[in-house]
Amino acid sequence: MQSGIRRATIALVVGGVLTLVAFIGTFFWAAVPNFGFVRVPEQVESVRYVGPFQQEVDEPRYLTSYVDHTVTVVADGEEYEGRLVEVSEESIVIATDTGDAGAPQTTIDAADFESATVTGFEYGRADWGQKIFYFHVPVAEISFLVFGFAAFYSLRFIMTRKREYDMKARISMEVTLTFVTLTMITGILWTKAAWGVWWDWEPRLTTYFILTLLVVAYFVLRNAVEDEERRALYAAAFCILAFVDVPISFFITRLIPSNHPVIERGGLEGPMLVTFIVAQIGMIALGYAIYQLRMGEMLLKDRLETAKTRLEG
Amino acid sequence: MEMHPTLKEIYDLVLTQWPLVAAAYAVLWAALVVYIGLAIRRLNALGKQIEVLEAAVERRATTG
Repeated sequence: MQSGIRRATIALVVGGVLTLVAFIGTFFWAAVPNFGFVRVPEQVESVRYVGPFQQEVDEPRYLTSYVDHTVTVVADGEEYEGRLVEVSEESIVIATDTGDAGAPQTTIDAADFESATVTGFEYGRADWGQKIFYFHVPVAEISFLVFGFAAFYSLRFIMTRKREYDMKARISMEVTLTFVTLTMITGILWTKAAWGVWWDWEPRLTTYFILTLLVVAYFVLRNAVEDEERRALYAAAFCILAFVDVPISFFITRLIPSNHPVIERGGLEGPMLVTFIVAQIGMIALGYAIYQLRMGEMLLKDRLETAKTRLEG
Repeated sequence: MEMHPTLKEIYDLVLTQWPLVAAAYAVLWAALVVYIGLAIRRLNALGKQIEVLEAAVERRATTG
């Protein structure tokens, strides 16, 4: 038991230091990626300059997004170049900048429109919401991993009927519940930051929500059965069945179309990748520390019961 | 100099992400610290109870 507490302490210190390092890396080292881009007419310092762009437009209505941009419009066989001033259903107005004081603007009949080329500059929009990723993903991964341990201990219990495995499975599920809850909370906040909504019934979110319900159901089941032997057996069987949702939830974003981002090989640059890996190791250490602490607590409770029985006897 | 309306919109969008990021980290750290803190506290309390009980068992054993 003492060695368990020692292991928990070491894991707690290692996990604490690593997650702190990852936290600092997240906000002070890893770059803030661009959340899409915008095309604005002026370059301003605090919006990141990405580069020039050229866009072909085949219908006049699409030009409404490009007022103030430089355009080349082909209409009725003729070419007009200048700054786009106004677009309506009837006409397109261009400041041709020809130097002709009498005619600084040219009005083109929208019916004569054939095509247009818009040129300008693209600017990145800093995606601060991405900072949630560094801890949201490791926490989600730990929830999958510890659920795997719970299923393994459940299987061992069914095979051996040793109470020790039931206890290990239950504690693993407790750790899973903690990390599943954290994944859901950080995930919902990220969804709001990235997609503008609190929830979306897309494949990953839906399967993970089912996973959350299954983890909660595991504890409901345990509380519903009074007989210790039957409770352990039913819980073990349920845990193994519920674990089926883990690979489904993990791989679903790779199997069917999903809005949820997927980390691809080479998708993270140096500091981002290092921060992410450090956060992952830190979270694994913290997950292990929590498991060992709860395990130590259970063993102490057992010792307490034994001591009480001896005292009463 | 007045900010271009499009840029103002960009800044508003970027800034609205901040409270969500702060909330995510606040919840994460608070939950872990509280959970681990409570586990350690319960562990210490149990350890003390066991010491007292085992000392009582020992005393009873020696006094017969």
